[in-house]
Amino acid sequence: MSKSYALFLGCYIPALQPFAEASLRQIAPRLNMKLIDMKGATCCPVPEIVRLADHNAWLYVSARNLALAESLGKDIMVVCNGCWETLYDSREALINNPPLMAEVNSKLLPLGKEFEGKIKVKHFLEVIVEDIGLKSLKTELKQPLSKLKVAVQYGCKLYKSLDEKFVSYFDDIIQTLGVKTVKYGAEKLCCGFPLSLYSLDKAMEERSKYKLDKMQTAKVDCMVTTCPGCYDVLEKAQLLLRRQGIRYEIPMLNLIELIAISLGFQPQEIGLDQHRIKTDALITKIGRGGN
Amino acid sequence: MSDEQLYPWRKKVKTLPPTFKNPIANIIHLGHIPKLVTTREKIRETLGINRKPPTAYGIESAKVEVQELIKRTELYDKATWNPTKEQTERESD
Repeated sequence: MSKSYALFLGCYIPALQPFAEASLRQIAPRLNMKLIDMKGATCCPVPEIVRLADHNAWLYVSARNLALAESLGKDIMVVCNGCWETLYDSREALINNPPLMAEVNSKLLPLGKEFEGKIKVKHFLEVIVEDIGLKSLKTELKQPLSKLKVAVQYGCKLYKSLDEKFVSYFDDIIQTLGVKTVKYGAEKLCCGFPLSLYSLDKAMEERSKYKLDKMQTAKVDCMVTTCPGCYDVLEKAQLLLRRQGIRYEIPMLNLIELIAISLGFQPQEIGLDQHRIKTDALITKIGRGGN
Repeated sequence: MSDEQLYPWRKKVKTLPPTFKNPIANIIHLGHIPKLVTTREKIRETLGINRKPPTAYGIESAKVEVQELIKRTELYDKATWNPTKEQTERESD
């Protein structure tokens, strides 16, 4: 029997990385997931900006998103690390503080919305490992990728999960796909997104470039992440650094895309050929079964 | 635990840093941070998904609701660019 989720897409995936959304919609039926769109969902909103700028605004807007999912009667599946942080934290804040919940609902009620705390917030990794199961994932695999060398970019938020379990889940999924991860020595380093809000140059030099240099030295075929923010920053860094004559050409993949490829979807079907960082060599290697 | 309890030394943001302004303005006006440009809409279509996702990008009422919520906070004023007011506040810090 398929499991249903209220799908929270966030901002970056639908607007900048639709390949991940297309991949998700392709793999969902294969993995017995039913995705119900949260019509009218907005930015989570982004914790690094809105939570710092105004805690109430952050809480009201995230509570509205939680209320949308609750009206569908489904747990939320989040496909963005930042959105997971906002929705998880705001849910926790609300369910553990009834007066705060009442205050927030007093703002939502005029909009015809209410959040009672009946639903949970689940990261995509959590859904795959805890609900779908790695065994079920394995039985669906069609495309061997054993020779593909990937660098994993977990993103800071995954380390905020209980006992860092999402980091282990990421590794478990990669292992199930049979892909080879390359330890490049900067896995835990932030991509640079929060620092870029203070200084783009500093973020590029001390975070993004440092990471990309390490990945390049490790001769990886691509980088894989579940964080659209990391994806965006490291993609932009590669494009911006070209202007200084520094070329990397490290293709960026969302883990959902890698799963779709492993399930046998053709790279063109999920838009791997539409990425801003060239993926030609990667597509060729995938065509050879990762060899 | 509130943010004030977690981060007691954190200074309250009175004026928004310039790098916060555009993302916050976009959340208020679009409901999202990045704009959904035509080229991306076309890519979405080629990938077999709707040109506009079923979020605030394509649903006007969602933007209005976010605006209503943010108007009830101090963020709405902070997001309005007012150099004179900001200069005064900076000097008083």
